[in-house]
Amino acid sequence: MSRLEERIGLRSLIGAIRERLSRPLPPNSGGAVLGSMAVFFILIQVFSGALLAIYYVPSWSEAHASVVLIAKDVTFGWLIRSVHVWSAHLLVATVLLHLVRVFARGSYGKPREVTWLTGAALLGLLMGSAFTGQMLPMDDEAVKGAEVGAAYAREAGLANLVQGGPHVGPPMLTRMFAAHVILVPIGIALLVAAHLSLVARHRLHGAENPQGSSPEFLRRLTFALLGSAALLAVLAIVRPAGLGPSPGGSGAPVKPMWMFLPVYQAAKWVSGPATLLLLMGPPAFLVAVPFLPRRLAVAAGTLILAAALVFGIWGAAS
Amino acid sequence: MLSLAAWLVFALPPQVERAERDDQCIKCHEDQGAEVKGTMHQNAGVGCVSCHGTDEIEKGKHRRTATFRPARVPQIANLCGSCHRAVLEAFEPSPHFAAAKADPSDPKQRSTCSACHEYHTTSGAFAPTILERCLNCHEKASHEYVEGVAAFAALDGHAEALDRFEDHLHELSRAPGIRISDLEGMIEEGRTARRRLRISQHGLDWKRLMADAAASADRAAAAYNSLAERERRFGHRYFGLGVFLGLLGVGAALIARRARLLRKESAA
Repeated sequence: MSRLEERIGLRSLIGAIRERLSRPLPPNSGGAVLGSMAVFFILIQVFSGALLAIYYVPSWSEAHASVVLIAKDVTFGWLIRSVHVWSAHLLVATVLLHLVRVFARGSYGKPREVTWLTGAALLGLLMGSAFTGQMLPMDDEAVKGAEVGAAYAREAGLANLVQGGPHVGPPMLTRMFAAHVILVPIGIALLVAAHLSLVARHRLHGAENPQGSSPEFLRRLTFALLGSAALLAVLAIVRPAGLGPSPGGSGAPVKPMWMFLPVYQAAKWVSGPATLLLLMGPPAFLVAVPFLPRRLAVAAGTLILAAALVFGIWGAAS
Repeated sequence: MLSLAAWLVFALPPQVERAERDDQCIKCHEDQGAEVKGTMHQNAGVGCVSCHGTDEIEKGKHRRTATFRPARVPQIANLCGSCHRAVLEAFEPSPHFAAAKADPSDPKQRSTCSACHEYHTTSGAFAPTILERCLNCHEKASHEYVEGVAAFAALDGHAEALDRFEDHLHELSRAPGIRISDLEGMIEEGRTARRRLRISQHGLDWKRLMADAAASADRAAAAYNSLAERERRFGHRYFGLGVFLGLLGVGAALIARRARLLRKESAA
């Protein structure tokens, strides 16, 4: 063992991680587990997604049948798929809570501006992952959702990039597939690495005035992860991910996923360049946050958050 | 004067009309025209002439030429069978077909196609109507009638079993976790069996009909039961969830205990 240890240094690496995780915590840091929970859900996504990729066929005509096969015929395919779908929702929700908490505590200030920026980029990539993944089942809802997304892309002048052609068709599916399983995950992996190493470098906000005993964080983290696993299992088993009708079936109108509802609802009232502003406004704000005066950032952030909640609930109810 | 009469006789057309279109028939046969109106046969372009052929009408009367077919017993079975070939083939070995052949003068055509099917309205024959007509000749206690009733019940049971299976399969078509791909072929199989029974019932071989219907119904019922069994098994996932949550709970309890011990140690 010691020969192996001499060569790979695994024990010292684990020791270093333990040492970092065992540092005394800043005051009121119960919510610090949110970031770790997000990493947990990302790992779940990687493993469940890899299993789904074994059976999924990224072809316009065969994709839906392959998803039906996964959900009905493959042993525990329904469970893997349900875990993937629910974990995606929980991941974005966790990251949003993490964002709100970090914003409210002003933890993004010097020297953690870059940590914030990598986090904001991660949020963008995760929502991109949700959007690109949403089309893959190729049921009626997925195709209509893709059409809605493509309409926004047209407003932004990115129609060709997203659709790969003049309208929503087979090239768009392969683009979404490539983005969902290769491009976006690579970006997420790189950004998570950057984000975590920056967190390790600058330690938690307020770590200068530690409080609480050292095993406290590990204990909380373990409970949070056990709780996350329990919640995920309950959702995936009690409400397994369903199968929509084949494309072109029902004429029912389609709504985007909950995380896009605020923009979807607000976009009903604007058109043309204003849509672009609506789409690019929130990301631009997130990038600007660390460089704005704190008061302005808090005022604008509260306003955006309130508007997002109102439009989101409105969009869900309408 | 005489020459004028001769001219009239030879130059005027004879009072004979060739009747070769349905609208010509219906001019006189109004009732039959009304019966045929809107039937599946008429919609498919099968009308008076298709069965009765053409004729020449002289002074309002049929001349009964060689191309005219009044469609009486027993030719009617052959006539219907010229299109409904498979039905005729099934009907031929039946005692009814033999009886119709033996007594071509039977005015009520009680034992051939028209015994059960109205020949002009050409409605599909349904069990209650048919069974009523059986009693025109057969006693209620006769084995022909009793077996016929049982056979129709078996056919109904077969249709019911198929519908039940088909409906349930359709309900489960989008349910995750329940495999149906291996049973989807049963739908086509059942429909084929239903078509085949619909034809073979014309053989009036009730025992064989009952056995065939029961066998196919059993297969449909077995498929239905296996769907139900799969649904029940999918319900076991809650048991798995319970075990998983239990394991998580045990893990959490162990961690909490260890944390308490550590805290006590550091306090001491």
